[in-house]
Amino acid sequence: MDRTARPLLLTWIALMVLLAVTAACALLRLGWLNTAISLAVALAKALLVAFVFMRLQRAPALLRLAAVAGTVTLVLLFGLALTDYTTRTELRAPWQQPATVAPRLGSR
Amino acid sequence: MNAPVLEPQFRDHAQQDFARSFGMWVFLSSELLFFGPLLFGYLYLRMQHPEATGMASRHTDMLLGTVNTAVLLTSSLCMALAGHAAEGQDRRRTVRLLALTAALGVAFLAIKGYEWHQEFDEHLFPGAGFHPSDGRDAGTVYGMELFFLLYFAATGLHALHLSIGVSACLWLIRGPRSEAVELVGLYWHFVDVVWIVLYPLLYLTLRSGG
Repeated sequence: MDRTARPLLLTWIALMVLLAVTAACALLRLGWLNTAISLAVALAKALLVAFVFMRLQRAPALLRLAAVAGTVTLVLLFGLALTDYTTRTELRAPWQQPATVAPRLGSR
Repeated sequence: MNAPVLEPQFRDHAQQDFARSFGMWVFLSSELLFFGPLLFGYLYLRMQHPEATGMASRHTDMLLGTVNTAVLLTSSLCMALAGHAAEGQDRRRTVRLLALTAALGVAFLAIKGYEWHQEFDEHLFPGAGFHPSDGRDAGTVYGMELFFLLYFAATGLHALHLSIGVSACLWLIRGPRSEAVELVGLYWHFVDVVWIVLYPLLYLTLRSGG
């Protein structure tokens, strides 16, 4: 293993430590912090892979822009979709029998 | 290494490699949007049926999921090292690392397949036979079924991407040109990132019981 490959190895060690942290934290009863920690660790791992393994830290601006464009578009679409789903009240169809209101996929 | 061909529309190899990397990044961005609806579906499910999501998530095998995450992260390291070796024109090393990457990818798929088998046996596949052992009322079972619909769709789509990645690795072993290893590496790492996001959503939600 030559010297220049060392950052890759260190990144892998960091990823493994983060995996251990997120798995251990998931087993503790922390309430909403469980979700916050697991998402924060996932973000950290994704950024490590993107910046070191996918070489985004030394990539030209155009490549970084292409990577960011996808993420920003996804966030915009999430925002637009959420404006619909968080403000819509679900009305039960009035002509349905109560037994069929609770929806199920497939048959019983 | 074989001498790379310079296509007539490019000034030099640097420009050609840059154009290829850029094309790959644009493709990966569109892939992110391809996975987006599944992630939004999960967000919606989590907002509408938080309890059922947790109950369903606890049915997944956390040990195998964690081992699989480690396998995939290690395969990404091998892929990054293969790219590094290909840059240094070390063909033998590149081929070995690519083979190791592909083998780890196959190991991931095998473990995933075993998990799916377990879930089929526990009647957790959405449809007529969906009977979770702890499903009490119809509303909870409905939420759990939605979770497993997303689970099988997301892991299935991810496994499809990974098998494409494994095929690309095997194809590369025949003639690992440096820029081709770079491009397949980008794709491989992207598939890894998708799993990094899926892992906490599918396996760790309310694992401790909230």
